[in-house]
Amino acid sequence: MSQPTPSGVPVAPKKELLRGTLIAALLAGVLLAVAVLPAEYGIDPTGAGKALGLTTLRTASVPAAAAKPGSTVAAPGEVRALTIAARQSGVYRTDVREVTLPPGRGLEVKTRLAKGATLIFSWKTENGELVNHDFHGEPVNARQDEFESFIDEKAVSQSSGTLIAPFTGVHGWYWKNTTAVPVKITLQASGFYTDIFNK
Amino acid sequence: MKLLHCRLPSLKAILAGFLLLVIAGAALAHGVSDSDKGFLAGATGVHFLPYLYLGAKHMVTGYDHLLFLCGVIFFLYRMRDVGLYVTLFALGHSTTLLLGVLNGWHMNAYLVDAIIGLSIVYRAFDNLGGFQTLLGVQPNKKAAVLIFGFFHGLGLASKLQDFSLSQDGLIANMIAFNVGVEIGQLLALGMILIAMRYWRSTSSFARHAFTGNFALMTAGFVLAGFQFTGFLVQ
Repeated sequence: MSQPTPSGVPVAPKKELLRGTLIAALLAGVLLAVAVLPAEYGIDPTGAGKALGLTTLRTASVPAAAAKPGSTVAAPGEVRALTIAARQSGVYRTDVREVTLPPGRGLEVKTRLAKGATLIFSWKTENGELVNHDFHGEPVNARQDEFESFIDEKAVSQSSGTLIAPFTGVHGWYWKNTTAVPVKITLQASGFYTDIFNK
Repeated sequence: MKLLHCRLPSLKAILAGFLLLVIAGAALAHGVSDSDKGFLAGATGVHFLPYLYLGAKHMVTGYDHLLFLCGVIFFLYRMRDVGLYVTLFALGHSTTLLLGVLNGWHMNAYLVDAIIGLSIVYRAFDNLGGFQTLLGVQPNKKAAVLIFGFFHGLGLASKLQDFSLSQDGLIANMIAFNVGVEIGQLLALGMILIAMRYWRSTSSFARHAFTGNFALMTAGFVLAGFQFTGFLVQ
């Protein structure tokens, strides 16, 4: 099937060369039309991409692109995220609160936040003791067990976070002291909540 | 069955082509990963080892460069020839990588990558003796590897320029990236050579060598079509 050459490297006969090259080009064309172009660009000339579910690869990535309707500003090398910026109508406030958790007991500090209002916080235990922490919120007139945990962590001595309230209600922190001695926690919070209270 | 193999390289080519595509597909969006981009975008000053690593990583995971290398060494049996051709390729891509970044050439990455895909087709066609058989001439193989090396280097340059490279420490970082590319190429070449030597030592090599080149050609066509379409729809 191969013709020996002086260099010892085989040379493909003309017929085989032409046939093979043609097949390579056709095969590449088919693969492009059926798989690569539908999956990569959403171009689906044969409809096979849709039938094979390959175009979903393309459509799945569209929401990320569509999530930036007005602006395409991005930092170099980053895929930009949703713009979340809103004028706040409440009064900006900053609070520092100290709570002492009795041994084996839990306590809560709560804020009242309107939907869309922002809260930033950071807390830590006095001597690095480990507690369980659940930063959560419940809407106004919540039913029994109607709440959402935003940050839920076990055995931590400090935590920080931000929240843009997804609903109007009471949002705040629950700590559980699992040790046998009292634990003192200092909480710093700031934002546009209307009230902060121990519970 | 053996007869069938000889008469129908197409079947084997289809299978081998698919295999190559699966490998290629695993890294189809061959660029730089987001975390690496984050590093590159934020970095100022000289970061020799990180850039060295990124260069090596780019080469080892760069299936377009690897397929071309496969094609180049396919029928090179003597280490002296392997060394010569790989040096020419390195010379080619280093030249345009350095010139491209230094002069801020902004080539269209899709077009450059399409040409890189075609370089694989060209080399596979040449391996089959296609130019001699069809046109009766044999283009200089060394010149071809050097010239396609230039295009591979343009591809590398545009990748590196994707992340606004800080002017601070630019030259050192770029050289580190380039050295990394060569290290990565040597590592990849070592693996390709081991695999090729093993394949050549089997009795089926002579039978499947053409098929292998047709498969390379298929992968090259797919890459070229993929990138050229990207150029059209960008």
